[in-house]
Amino acid sequence: VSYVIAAYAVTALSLGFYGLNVWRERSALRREEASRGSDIANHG
Amino acid sequence: LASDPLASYRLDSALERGAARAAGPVGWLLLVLAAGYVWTVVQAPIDSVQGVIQKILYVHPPLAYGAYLGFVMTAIGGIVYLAQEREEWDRFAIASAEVGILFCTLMMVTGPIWGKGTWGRWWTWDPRLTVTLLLWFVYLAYLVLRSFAGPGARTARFAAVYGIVGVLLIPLNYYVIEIFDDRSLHPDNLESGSLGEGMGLPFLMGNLTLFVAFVYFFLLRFEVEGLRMRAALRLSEERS
Repeated sequence: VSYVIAAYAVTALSLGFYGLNVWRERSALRREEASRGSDIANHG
Repeated sequence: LASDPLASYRLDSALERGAARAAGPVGWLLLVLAAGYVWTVVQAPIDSVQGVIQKILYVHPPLAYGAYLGFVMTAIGGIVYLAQEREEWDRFAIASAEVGILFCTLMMVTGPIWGKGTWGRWWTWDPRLTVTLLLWFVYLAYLVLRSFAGPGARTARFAAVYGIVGVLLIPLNYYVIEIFDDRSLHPDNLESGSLGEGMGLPFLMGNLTLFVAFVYFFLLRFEVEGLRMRAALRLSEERS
């Protein structure tokens, strides 16, 4: 049973960790891009 | 700015806008499927020969199919990039390779766990395992190349050709068991009807869930690649 749990836990944790990292980077880059866009709109 | 390789990038393509819009619904679908997947694996019958460890079947092959998909998509991105010279297809190839290597790595982690429980050892130089390791190294090298070489058409063209050549290992990886029939320790490729009663649904759910997970991660990563490129372009414009 421990081998089965290990296989599924490693998969779930790795996919979750990867997904969270990419999602956070996407959010940060989107925020940065949005703030640049509003700077240009405000200051020409 | 004209000499800057980033200046030639065409950004915000319809392909990238579509990917960004699709990510949200695909993410919600993934959550629903993941719950069903866990339920079907828990409920799946215990194999009479291998015992409970056979349940790794519902995660190990689906990870392998995800790896294959990622590397095939890398090659497709490369082919379209070489044909059309549109940079979003180069970014498509990078995102595919990264998600493909993630799935390939997990396939190579879950496989030895299964092997230790059934064969009594983590690794053996079996033809399937050896070719899988080679496939992993080929696409790891692809990502290392991309991270060190920087942007530009020359790198993209080289990477496209490399990705296309690398994908030739996939049919070898799949059929190597049949080629080395009597020398392979790895179980045969699954065929229709080869699963026991009650094992079809968890296997289907495993494939479906991990396929949707692949798509979701690819969509996120593909958008990130475009966002990174735009951020680099802005930085380049500010400096010039």
